[in-house]
Amino acid sequence: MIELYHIWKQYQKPDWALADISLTIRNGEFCFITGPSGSGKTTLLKIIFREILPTEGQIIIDGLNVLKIPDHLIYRLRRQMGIVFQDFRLLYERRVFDNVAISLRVLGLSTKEIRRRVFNALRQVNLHQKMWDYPYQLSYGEQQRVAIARAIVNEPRIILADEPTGNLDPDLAFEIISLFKEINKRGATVIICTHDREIIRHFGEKVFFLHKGKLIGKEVFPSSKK
Amino acid sequence: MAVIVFLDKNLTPQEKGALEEKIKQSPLVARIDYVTQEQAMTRFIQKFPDLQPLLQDLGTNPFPPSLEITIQPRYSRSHLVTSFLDSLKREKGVQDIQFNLDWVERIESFDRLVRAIGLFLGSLLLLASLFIISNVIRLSVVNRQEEISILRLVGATNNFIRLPFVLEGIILGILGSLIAIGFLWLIISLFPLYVGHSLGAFKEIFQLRSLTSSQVIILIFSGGIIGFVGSFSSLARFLKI
Repeated sequence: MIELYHIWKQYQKPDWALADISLTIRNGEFCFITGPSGSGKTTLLKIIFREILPTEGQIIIDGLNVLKIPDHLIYRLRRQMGIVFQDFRLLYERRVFDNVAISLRVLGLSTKEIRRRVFNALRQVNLHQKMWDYPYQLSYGEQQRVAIARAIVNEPRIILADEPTGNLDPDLAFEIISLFKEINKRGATVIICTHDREIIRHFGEKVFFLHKGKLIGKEVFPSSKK
Repeated sequence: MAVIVFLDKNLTPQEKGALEEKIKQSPLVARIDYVTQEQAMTRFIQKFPDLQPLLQDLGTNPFPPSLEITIQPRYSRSHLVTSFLDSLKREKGVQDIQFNLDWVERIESFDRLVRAIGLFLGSLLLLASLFIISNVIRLSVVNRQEEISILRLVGATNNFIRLPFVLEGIILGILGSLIAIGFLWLIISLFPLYVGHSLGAFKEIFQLRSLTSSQVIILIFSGGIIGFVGSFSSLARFLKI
């Protein structure tokens, strides 16, 4: 369970990027954080991922106070999470296989195990036939799927995606979110930041609305509806 | 370094043997050669054949017997040799000692100067190596910034991120020392061929020695250490994990 208590974040005085955000996301939930540009979606995601620290507040993930984890042990938290960005963040001089394998190499797994898991992850995103291509040889949608494969390959319990459909056309965007939904069905908690209302209308189970750094609303749909 | 000890002509073989034995016991002595009066005269005639009639006119052999002592190179410090020679002078049967103390002192001063310059230049080169390695690693860190940020996101430990850069630094340091050893070997091999003949009397002084295997190992190891320190200092400054 991810619990955020009274999160405040200030980059520059006097503006607050986040103001008194409190929310709870249960294990296995599929939820969206939405709001216009500059509403604080990415900041919130970065705080959950502990890429940045909040100015005030507490974050508890599965009973663990994230802010009390010393810097040199942050990797333990991050190994439980997979993150996907709008701009993919792929290494373009490395093959698709290596881009996905990077998440496993840090765990010190054997080459054989890495190959097996990378192949499985790429098969899940239907890219196993392009395993030895370079990212620049792929379409945007395929590149995003590589980024997703990298995020899921070590089977994390939490997947965070920051505008994962921002660069994609509507059909591809639906395909990508469907993929996240499939991952969620296998038990992972999925949190997606998006401002795409169409996607939220179609997939949203739990939606948090942000505006100017404040949580202005929360909507929960019965999951059976989707 | 050689010292010539001229002996009394009337010294008995026993006394000469005892003196030779005593000199041999000194740790400073590498070798000792006895030169008889006849051998001394033969050498003189070989060197100055024109003066042979003069010697014949004398009717006697004017050259005293002598002991030619070679001093161990590691004990060639003048104050040690001087005290050794002082003790020799007091020995029975020793007439005179030929040893150019001024030259030894001059060479020693020159040696000290060369060592000091070497130490200074060595320190400068050491700092330069550290600086260069540190900057190469810095450039490497900058070039791989994107990869580093991805590694951080996927949960790489600090050491996992640092390791390739530290290894790069160590390899650069070792490669640098291997190249230096190679160049040194080349210089030592080529020096006598190109400059050796023109050195003349200084040939003995400017004799270049190859590095011993332990010196080579120390040099390679030091290269690795410099690489490690250079890369680590660079990572501490430029790699924000």
